[in-house]
Amino acid sequence: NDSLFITCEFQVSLLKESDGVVTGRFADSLLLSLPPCDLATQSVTLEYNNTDVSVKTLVNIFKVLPCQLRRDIISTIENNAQFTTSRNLGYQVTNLTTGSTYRLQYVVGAEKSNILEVSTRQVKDHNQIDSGLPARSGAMVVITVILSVSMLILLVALIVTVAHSLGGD
Amino acid sequence: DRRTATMADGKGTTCLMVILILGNIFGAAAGLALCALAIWVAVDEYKLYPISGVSGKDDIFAGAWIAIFTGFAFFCMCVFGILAAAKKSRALMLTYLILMLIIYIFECASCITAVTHRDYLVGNSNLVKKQMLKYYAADGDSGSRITLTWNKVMKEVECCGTDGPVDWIEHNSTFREKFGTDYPWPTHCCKRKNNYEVVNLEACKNGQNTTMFTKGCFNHIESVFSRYTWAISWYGFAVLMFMFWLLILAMVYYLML
Repeated sequence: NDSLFITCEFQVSLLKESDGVVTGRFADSLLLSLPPCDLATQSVTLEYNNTDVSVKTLVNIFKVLPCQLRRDIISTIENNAQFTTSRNLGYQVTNLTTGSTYRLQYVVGAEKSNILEVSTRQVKDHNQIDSGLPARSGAMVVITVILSVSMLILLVALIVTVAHSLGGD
Repeated sequence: DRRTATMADGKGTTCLMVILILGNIFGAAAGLALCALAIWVAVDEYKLYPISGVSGKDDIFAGAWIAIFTGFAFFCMCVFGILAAAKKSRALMLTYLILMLIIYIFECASCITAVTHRDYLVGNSNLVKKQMLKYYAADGDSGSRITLTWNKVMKEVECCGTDGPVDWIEHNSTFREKFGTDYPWPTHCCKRKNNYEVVNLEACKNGQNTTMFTKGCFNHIESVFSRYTWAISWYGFAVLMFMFWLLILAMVYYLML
């Protein structure tokens, strides 16, 4: 039936390294891609919820391109001596809880995006990092074994030499 | 009988004496080179000592200090060995053998502990990462030394974090406790202009990879410590292997005297 196919008018996704950022998932915020430009000049609403909590709606957070620069739009500005270009990369959703799963959806006018389900990063305790001795490297084993054996051989040889020379006399 | 025995030995002894003298000359040079190389390691031109010092695994440098003395001692003993071999004196050769063995054992200790502590420190990135998260921006002597070292490394090598900037957001840290989550990573991760001003602070906070350093610093740290360790332990090992055969020959010579 028609419930098998879910038509999304446009896509929303997390920003990735290929989009020019280190990561799209922080501990308390997420970087989302922007709605496409053909919805230009309409204002965007973002609805999201945590799996347990009621839906939060951020209304009219920005207008689709031509975007006016708002606080949370991430834009790069590249400039050399001749000109400045700026690109808008995405939107940053802040004040999120660490390590929880969120469902996010843009609403632009009559159109909705897909529901993006992502979780923020779970912050690990640095005291839990195991900093014990990792596997012994080959170099260490070779050097230790060969040097220990050679020390032993020399010691034995010296004792034998001295004993022999004393015995000989 | 005794006369023929000594006459037969005479030629063999002279041959062995020449080999020993040549070997000792070479050994003296090798020992002096070991001393010089160990001085280079002890000077620590990359200024990464705090990373090993704070963790307590600083025997790469302890090995270097031992090698300075054993290298110079090898030099002195080899010169003495030339004299002892030329004089064909049993007493001198015995002194030579015993002292060389003592120096040999110390140098073995230096090599083994340097390579073992290198494995502790940079076998994988965990120890360096944990230390960075715990001590960067911390109070106290350890904290300030680690912070200064990391700032220097991040600026010169153009890197951020141990494996990458993600280390700062994946784990909690003293830095985060002090400064909150507004700055996901230290501002030393951001690219700066020649006048030391940050190029774009907001972009750096968001993680845009054109405005910050995205590679990890561990590669550089690991290569520096490995370089020091190979200088002390592998070169020390080579010198010791040469000295091993020299000492065996010296024992044979002693028996022939």
